[in-house]
Amino acid sequence: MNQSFYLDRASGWHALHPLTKIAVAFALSVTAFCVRWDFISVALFVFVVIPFAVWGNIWRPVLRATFTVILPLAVSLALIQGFFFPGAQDVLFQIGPFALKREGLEFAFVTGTRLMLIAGAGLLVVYATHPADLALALVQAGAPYPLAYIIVTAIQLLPEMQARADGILKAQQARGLETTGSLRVRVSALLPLLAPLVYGALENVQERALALDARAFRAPRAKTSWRVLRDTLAQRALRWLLVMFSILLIVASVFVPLFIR
Amino acid sequence: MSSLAVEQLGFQYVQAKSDALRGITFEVPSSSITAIVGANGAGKSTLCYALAGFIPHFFKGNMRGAVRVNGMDSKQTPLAQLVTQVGLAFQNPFNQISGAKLTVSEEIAFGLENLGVPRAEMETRIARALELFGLEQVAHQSPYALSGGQQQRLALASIFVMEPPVMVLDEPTSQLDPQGTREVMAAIQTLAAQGRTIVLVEHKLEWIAELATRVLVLHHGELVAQGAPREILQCADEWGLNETRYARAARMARERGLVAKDVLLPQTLEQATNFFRV
Repeated sequence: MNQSFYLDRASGWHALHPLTKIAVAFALSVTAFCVRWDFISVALFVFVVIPFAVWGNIWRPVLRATFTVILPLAVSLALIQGFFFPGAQDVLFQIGPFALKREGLEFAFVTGTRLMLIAGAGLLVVYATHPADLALALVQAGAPYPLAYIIVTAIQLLPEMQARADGILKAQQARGLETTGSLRVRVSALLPLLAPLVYGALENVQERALALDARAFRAPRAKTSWRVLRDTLAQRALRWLLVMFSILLIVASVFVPLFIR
Repeated sequence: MSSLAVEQLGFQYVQAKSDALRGITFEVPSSSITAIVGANGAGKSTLCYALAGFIPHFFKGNMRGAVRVNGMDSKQTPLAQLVTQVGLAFQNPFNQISGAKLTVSEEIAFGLENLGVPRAEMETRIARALELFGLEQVAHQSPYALSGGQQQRLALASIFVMEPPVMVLDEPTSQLDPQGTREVMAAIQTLAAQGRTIVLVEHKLEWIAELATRVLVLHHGELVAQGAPREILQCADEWGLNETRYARAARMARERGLVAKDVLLPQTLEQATNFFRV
């Protein structure tokens, strides 16, 4: 049972310092928001995210997860914005009282592709960064230890919750719960699935907190690390460049009617 | 010399109507296995929390009396310092996994990292813990990929590695199958052989009879009996405990007049063999 997003590969992308990977993802996301060209997110996804994912040998899971998350969102965005975008004039076609408009679809496209880029960039980091390395990097960068722990366990918690949800689903199906079929059937199956999942998670909170304290989690002393993080001058320089680039882009996008439109 | 001394301990949880513990006094000698038994709701887990300092530092309420760990008063000593003196392991091994580590070795290192142990020393301690608890083969596996018995051994190893002289184990086998139970009990024997002082809460009386040097019986929050396992477990059913299969068989034999009435009921296989030979 894989209880982590992290995929262990011997790749150059994996070997980079976690903050370098985060800086790349951050710069990509900022660029998608600041550059006013409708295809910027698609271009960055195709020419940066995918090559990096190939470099890290994680392109399959990155693409699969990105599209699994984004596709349903994109469809709902297209429908809602396409039909109800405020102030839109250019009607593409009409279904009864509802008119699908070009401006709405364009907005949905830009928003959807931005989300796709952010999801892809985030997954590039999460799939290629050992959680303990991420926590260590955050602490070394000045983040409080409990905050770093919370971030890492939150990332770890998702696959764990998924595994638990699968278990509950199978248990409920074994007891005759109908989980497939019409929308009504699926919605009515949600409560018997969610209730034990949420209750179980809350029930464990106290014992988990005790277990952490039993292992000196709150000991007021300098922590050490079992894992060793490698960093280089080139990576530190690259991180600064990416951060400066992102800040400049944000400032420029506020004051200058930016770039291609 | 005693590692743990409990004097007139009482505790009432916030918003509880009655005391969870009342007037408990006992001492735990160094390098021994002391078992605590009692029916559900007898106060066993509360006593474990008090022994490990989680009462009063984690659970709030009205604490009376004192718990001394190697001479340190648990009320006056910060929890972070107490955990280096008393390790506490819980029933559910799954909940004891930190969730932030990907391999068994890293998981064992978690407590050492928090204590600021230098990496070179960590390596030595982790290697020893892996060997002692038979986890070398799974050192690079995910903690979540282990069996229940292995996960509980990992929980024990994660506490052991912090080198507390006393380890309090609150029903460490309650969620394990017989094989998992055997694995964990073997690990506990190893700990005791290493000189650790063990306080073990356990429902499986056959194991208590086998391992413990002393048994304490809790009943409705009070310490009602203490002594050697064979003597104390004679009246297991009086305190709502399930007697061992050896005691049950011997009791039936006694009721049918097959054996003398004044002989103590056996609690272990060895005692049963001798009992029925007579």
